[in-house]
Amino acid sequence: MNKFKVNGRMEKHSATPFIRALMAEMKNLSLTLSSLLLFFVLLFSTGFAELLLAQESSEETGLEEALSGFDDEVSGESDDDLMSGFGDEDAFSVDSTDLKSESSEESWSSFSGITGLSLSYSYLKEKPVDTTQADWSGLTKLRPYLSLTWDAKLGENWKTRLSGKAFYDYSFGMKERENFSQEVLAELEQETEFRELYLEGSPFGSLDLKIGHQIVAWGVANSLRVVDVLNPTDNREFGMTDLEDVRLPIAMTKLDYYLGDFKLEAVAVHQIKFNKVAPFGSDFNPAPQKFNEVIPESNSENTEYGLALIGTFSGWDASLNWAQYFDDTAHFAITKITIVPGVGAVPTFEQRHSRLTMAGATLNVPSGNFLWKAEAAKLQGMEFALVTDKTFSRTDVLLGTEYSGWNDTSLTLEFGVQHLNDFDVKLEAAPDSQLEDRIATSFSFMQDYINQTLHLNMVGMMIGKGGTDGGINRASLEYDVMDAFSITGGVMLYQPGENAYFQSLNENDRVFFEARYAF
Amino acid sequence: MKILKFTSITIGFAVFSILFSGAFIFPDKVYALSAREIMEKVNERDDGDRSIAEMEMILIDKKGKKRVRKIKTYGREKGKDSQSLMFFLSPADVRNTGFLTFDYDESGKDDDQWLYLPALRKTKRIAAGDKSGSFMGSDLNYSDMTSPDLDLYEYTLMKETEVKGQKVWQIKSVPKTTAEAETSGYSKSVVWIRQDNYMLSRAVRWVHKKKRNKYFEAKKIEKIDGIWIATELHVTTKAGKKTLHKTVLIQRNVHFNQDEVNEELFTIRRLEKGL
Repeated sequence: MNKFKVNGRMEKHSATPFIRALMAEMKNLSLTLSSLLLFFVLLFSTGFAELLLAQESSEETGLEEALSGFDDEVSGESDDDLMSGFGDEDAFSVDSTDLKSESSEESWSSFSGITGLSLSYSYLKEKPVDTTQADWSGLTKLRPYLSLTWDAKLGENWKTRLSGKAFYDYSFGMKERENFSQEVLAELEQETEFRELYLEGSPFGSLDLKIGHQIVAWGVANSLRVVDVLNPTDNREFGMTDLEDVRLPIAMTKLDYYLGDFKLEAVAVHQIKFNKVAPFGSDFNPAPQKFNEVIPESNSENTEYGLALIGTFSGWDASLNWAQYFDDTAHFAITKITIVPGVGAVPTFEQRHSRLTMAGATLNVPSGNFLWKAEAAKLQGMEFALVTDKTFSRTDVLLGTEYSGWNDTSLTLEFGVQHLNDFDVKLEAAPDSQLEDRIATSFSFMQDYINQTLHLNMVGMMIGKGGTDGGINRASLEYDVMDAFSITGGVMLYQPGENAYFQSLNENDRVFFEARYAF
Repeated sequence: MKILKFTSITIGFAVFSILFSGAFIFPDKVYALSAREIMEKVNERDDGDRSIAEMEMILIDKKGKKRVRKIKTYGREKGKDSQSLMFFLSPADVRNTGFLTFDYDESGKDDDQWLYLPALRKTKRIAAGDKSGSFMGSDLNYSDMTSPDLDLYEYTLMKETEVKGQKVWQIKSVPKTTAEAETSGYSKSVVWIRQDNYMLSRAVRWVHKKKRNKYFEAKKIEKIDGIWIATELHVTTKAGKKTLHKTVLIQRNVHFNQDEVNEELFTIRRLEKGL
């Protein structure tokens, strides 16, 4: 049996569907879709954006006119004449400094990093009438951040990495700071953490070893996770976290053995760490009360395991994946029932993490401008509060495609279904709040302009059939002011639906801005 | 979402066979060839094997603002197919991104392409059908970097002339189908092929459905390890006479027949390990 440590005191509470929905949706979803988004996509994909950006579109230039672009007719011209054929305006000239050869010698170690300022403004929420309540209106983020990475080569076959990240959010100090919960201030006001710390190398031949805090990303999907179960994710601000920051590194040992077109990957996860969720009291956590969460100890008995056979072939890739791990999303368990006179039976809940076994497969097939992808997995060992005499299994299936047939454009569509096998209708009630089938559709559209200095990015996800449960939409424009320095502005819209969690996010719409410099 | 910018990179960067390299072929073999035969010679020439190079691209916009991209490239021939591996060195936000391409000679067979995204710690397969998109914001697109499928084009020998004192053939190339024009991004091209070594000396290309032309000129050609290669190439996009954008490509530290450039290099394993 697994050993558990109880994190905090046991409390008597009845769970609300809010928190349950939050936990369930957080695990499975990242982003959503709407008709508005589709409208914009059609608009941009049909070339409207190019008109906006004054990109000309008409008949071809004539042959003679084009040839004269060299400023010379080729025959009989001298070298100088030919060279002057490319006599661009001064603005386009390159000088000897530009063309100077630089040493290609690489240092054995290097520092790199990203620093910037992240800002968001919640424009729908109003200041609370009760001045003792936390104020989530207006400026909700004013966060300078810094991440640093040190890489070093240790001889021919080994290297190491150490990286960390820190931020401080000034927006809390600009309001009545004491009105925010301790959990919010602890999680969102400031953070300093190590991320990756590992040693990797090749002990011999076809074997690679990587040990330490790291990320192991499985699967072919962009936004919906089916077999990608090993690393927890950062879901504190639903839909707002960039993909590159969403996975959280944890302590693992990974062995890769290569044989022809195959890679056999074995992973042991030594650190039990779960998703970062919106802290109690935040505008992304509508739960009216806290629940104790039981966190299994990080010991040898609780080690998580993963195994993958990954094949890379001409015209397709595929993998078989297996993992035994703790569910990153907690379920509720009733720890005791108290009879309260005049009220009746009052259950006490706590949150636990089931030990799951996942067996899955992935497939990637490119065809012309399309990349088709599929993932499927069966998870066993799911536990719930309202049916305790058995565990459940769930079948997850994802189908998706990426289209890259338009200039400087990428379009991705993913559709996923989670089917809870041998469904028991009791699970529909709180605190489990389960559905037999959960459906999610995610969508992303990206287009670049002005020689890839301006990037339009629209992503969305809708939950349930036709988005009836809710969804989110995010649109942003990023401009590369110079190499490695960019500014981004955008808007995030939350769509309320029948799902209680998305209803709670209805007023969380916000605009955001980021200035970012990589070095 | 910055990393997703790279999902649209569908590069067929195999060897820069048209743009950068060429073999020395004796002039007495070059007479009385049709345009198609000349282009076959261009495609078949020895453009080197097991190569290592550092490439720098200087992107210059209308205001004279310069952006610089640096890439380390490895190339290898495998029968009639070619393989390439690239690692982006700068700018900093794309450093260590890797790109692996298997460019197949077989007509109609799509290239295999994988992109390693260090920010995601993930290798992603890329659909390689469309080659009309800009490569890293430069004036080149992906079709500029792969050998054309000659069966998909009509070639016309316009005249024999001279460029920089070198005898050249001036050849017009037109895709046979609209689909190919859309895939390559060009509705017509005129290329100047040197008669002494089948190197591309110049080219002007008509951007499909846009009133724009791209002008290519090999500014510096060197013979390295017995292989002719353009070590400096200028590509300019113009609308009529007006220059819109320019890219200067420089190849440095080019070496061929390197022992370390072997089959093991062109693998997902090596792609993920980085430099």
